[in-house]
Amino acid sequence: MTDSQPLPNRFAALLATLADGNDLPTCDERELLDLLGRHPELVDEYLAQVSMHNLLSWELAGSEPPLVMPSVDSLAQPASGPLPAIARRMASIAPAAWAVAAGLLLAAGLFGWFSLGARATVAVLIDTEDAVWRQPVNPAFGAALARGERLALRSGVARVGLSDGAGFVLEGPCSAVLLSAHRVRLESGNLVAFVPEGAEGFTVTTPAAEIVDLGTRFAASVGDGGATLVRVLEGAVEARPRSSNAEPLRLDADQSLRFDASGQVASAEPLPLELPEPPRLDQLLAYRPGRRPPALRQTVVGASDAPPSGLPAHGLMVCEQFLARPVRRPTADALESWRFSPQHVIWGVRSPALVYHDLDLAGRAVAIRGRGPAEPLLANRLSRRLAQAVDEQVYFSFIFRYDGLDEGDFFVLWFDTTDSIDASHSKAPSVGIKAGRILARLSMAEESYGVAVADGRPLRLVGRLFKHGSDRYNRLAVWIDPPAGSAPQPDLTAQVEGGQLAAFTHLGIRMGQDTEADDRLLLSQLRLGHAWDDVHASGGE
Amino acid sequence: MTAPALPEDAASNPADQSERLSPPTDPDQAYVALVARSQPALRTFLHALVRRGADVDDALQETNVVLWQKRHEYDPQRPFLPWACTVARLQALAHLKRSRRHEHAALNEELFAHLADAAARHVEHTEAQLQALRECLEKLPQRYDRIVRWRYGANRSVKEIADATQQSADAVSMALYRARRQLNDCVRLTLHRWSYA
Repeated sequence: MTDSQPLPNRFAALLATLADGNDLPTCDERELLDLLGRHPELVDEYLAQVSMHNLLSWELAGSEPPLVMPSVDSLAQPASGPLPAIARRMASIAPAAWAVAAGLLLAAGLFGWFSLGARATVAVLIDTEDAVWRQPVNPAFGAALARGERLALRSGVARVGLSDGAGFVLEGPCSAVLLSAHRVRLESGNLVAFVPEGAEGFTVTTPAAEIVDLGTRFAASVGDGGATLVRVLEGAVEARPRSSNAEPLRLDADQSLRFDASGQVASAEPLPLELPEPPRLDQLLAYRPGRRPPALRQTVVGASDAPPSGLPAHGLMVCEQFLARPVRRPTADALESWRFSPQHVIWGVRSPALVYHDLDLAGRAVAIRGRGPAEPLLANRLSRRLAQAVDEQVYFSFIFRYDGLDEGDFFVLWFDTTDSIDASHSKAPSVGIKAGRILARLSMAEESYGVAVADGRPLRLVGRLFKHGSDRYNRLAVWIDPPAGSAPQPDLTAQVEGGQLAAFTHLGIRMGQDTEADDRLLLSQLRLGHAWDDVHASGGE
Repeated sequence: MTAPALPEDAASNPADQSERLSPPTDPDQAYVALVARSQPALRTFLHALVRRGADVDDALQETNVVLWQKRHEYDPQRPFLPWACTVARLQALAHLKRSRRHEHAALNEELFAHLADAAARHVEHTEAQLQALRECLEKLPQRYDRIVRWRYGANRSVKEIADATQQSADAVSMALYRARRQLNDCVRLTLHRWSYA
């Protein structure tokens, strides 16, 4: 950029710097203003660029970018190129549902993604259930998995999507190695694969056998010494012993085969297993290697915690009114900030109307959607870390309304020591709705239920979490729509002997596994304090 | 972007029965919602006038405070945003005079007035523009989509993107410039289409 540039270029260069969000040096700012003063026709372009910078900042801040940096060279020409075989096949021969899926994949640019990345990523971890990994660092949901990576579970299950389109679930104890985007070595344990049309050829090798998929769902189990069981659930596979050049054997649905440790076909017997569910098609589409799934993109916004007048500020640890979209700090570990997926959570002014008695909470609520079909194990959540650990008696309150409530729906406000995305918080003190009724629990085994809740009815819950003769939280009292004034008898109490939690550092809201994508939990006026009056001011609203 | 200094929630003040028990159309609540909803427009307006990021944030905070202080002067029968822009314009002017007084750069008040008038007109449709932008981002060519999401989604600076892609900062900056221009064109066309739908 030099002063000798012709006007349009010089103006564009100055404006680009400004509209990128940078401060111009004084001399450049003066030059830009001088150009605007002498050429009023440039004002529209000036405003358009500045405006779009702010709109994009507002709209996209905090969302996760693609994992792969853009190549500026590629900006000069349209991104296109030969499609991998799977994409061509899906687009050309697939039935209607697959044609839609293929279109989605193509539109999303999935198949061109890998060539841009330097990492030899061949798969993505979709989700886990109660997974205890053998490796010291647990892969996170959505983590990219590289060629040669070993997945070893002591227990639980882990679902993986391969970049060639197939997916599988591993059940611990097990060990498997990713050999390529369509090949896995199962060393021990159970694997169930789902291989959609277009991804045929997915291969599982074991010490005793090689199993080549022909478009199917199948299970493989490797036991002591490498003996391998194969069972086809749908479609067909070809399996052959690795110890010989024998012709592969074709197995169709409901057929099983056993290879002993020497690779000999020993007998056909069913797998005596409750098989875990492999990834579903919509999961494989949503969890695209190389791009962070929408459900995992996290937005971080600063907590407001400005107590309304009339409430004692000193006693409040949390006082969130969900106003507008406040500070965006895209650092996931920021203290006193809310974390959520913008795909699932609507904050402040964009949330639907919420009226509690005479209190209009328009623009001061957060709306959390039910779970989408592509992420059945992700508890759509909203969570934050507290400024410091809390280990004493607390009171809390919030106003909520659940739209679309049915018997299978579930949500809780929980108090815990983590807000990791794979945490279930099932052992944490929680208050919410379960089976259509108000729930208070201190652990999964100790749940108390209150009155039935009507779909779409706003309620205020006030709670007291405390310790009784223990150094752990073991008492939880809940009031439902309590009147103004001092605390009456609670409507609901839960208690355990001993308890699990001595202190908590996080709180959050999570939606249940069986909620529907159309469900909406609206929540407002969330408060956490030391005393009843901190969270439920005399007179109420 | 720093937090808008929104006023306290007067509606939940238990000491004030008239506010506490007011109907859903309580004017203060509605006013808070208007201020909140106007933040993207006001920031754009102030950015066009004040330009430096920290100054823009300060001016926005000051504007929000003044808007709250003047809430009783607002006539709810009239559109909110033009009125808010009038307040923001005065804050921007005061801020410029205060913050640039040592820079010997005389404020061109005629140009300031021209930009303020044009910016006020431009931001009138910010909410609709945001809606259209969501549609346009879906259509943005992949070659622009990635760089836009790195800049605005991940908040990476132009220099960081340039370093990571081994390109010059100027090349990255101009790519972003073209992406914003393309999005602007798309937003304009989309709004035009909606207005005739």
